[in-house]
Amino acid sequence: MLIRMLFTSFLIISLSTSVNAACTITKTDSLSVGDAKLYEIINATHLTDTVEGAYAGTRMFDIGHSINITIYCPVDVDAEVRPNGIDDYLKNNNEIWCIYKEGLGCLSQTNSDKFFASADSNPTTSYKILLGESTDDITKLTNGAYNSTLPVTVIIVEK
Amino acid sequence: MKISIKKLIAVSALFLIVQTHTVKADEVHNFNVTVSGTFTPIEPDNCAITPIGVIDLGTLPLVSIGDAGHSRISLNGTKLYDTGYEVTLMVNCSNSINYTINAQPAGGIPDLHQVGNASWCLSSPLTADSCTHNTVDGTISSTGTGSDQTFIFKILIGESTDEITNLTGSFSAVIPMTLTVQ
Repeated sequence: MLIRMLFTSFLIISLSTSVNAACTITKTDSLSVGDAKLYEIINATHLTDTVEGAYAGTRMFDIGHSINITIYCPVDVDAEVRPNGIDDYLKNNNEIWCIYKEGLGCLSQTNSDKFFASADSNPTTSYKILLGESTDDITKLTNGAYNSTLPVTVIIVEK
Repeated sequence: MKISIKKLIAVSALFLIVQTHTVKADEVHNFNVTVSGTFTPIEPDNCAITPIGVIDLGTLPLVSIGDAGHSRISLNGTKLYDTGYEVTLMVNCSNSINYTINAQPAGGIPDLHQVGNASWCLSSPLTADSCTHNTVDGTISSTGTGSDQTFIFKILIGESTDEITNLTGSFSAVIPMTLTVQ
């Protein structure tokens, strides 16, 4: 009887420890950019040159909003953040959206962002949201309300 | 008691195996970020072009116009002379946006604006030694920066008979300018 109790206790401890070993992620689920004034976006304070990565050659503009992702993990891990199907999902009508990282450009399947998360720290990484237009002329963006979904995948691998 | 120790060791091993296996497995987290808002477009009224309207050259000394000091080009067989006058346009936009200036002579003549027997045209540095007329060749495109930008058109004059000395009297021409904000 005692052995069974011990066995059960260890099994519970083992399973609970295993569950706790998994990483958790907090992230931005939605962004409301409010009333985006195109002439403010085009101002010199925003990116006006073409970016690297996805949509290279297309002028993309910084709309002044970011996505934040924080990794909580009890062990040292490598994290990889990448948009999931950028060419299929980030275009809404004639709008082009991208998740931008300095030095990497617009992220895609091929130039995803990779960083290290240790057990002692919970790093937060931030990505700018860029906006463009398929004809490379942002002034042709459709007037009115818009709603776009940006799918993101985070892959975590133990060090 | 011996059995208990063995089972404890077995459970510990199981614990390590389960834990190691769980941590080493790749974790894939998928989520969506929704971006929503409203676009406010650029208003064309944010740009202005001056002046628009009549350009009165007053009395033109034909002898001086015919001097060698004035350039002379041939457009569709008509010789055109540089009058020495220019039209200066100033474009001001409150925002840094793309705009196009269209300078088009009015009237039913596609190439030249004719008043009486005098033929006029506008020539710009961007169109070299040709005249601005009602085709795409006569369109000047530039990018505004939010500050004043100046564009200068030369005014050429010719005569339908290709003989400038046949020009007579006083005259004026209306040359409409339009500004398109893209």
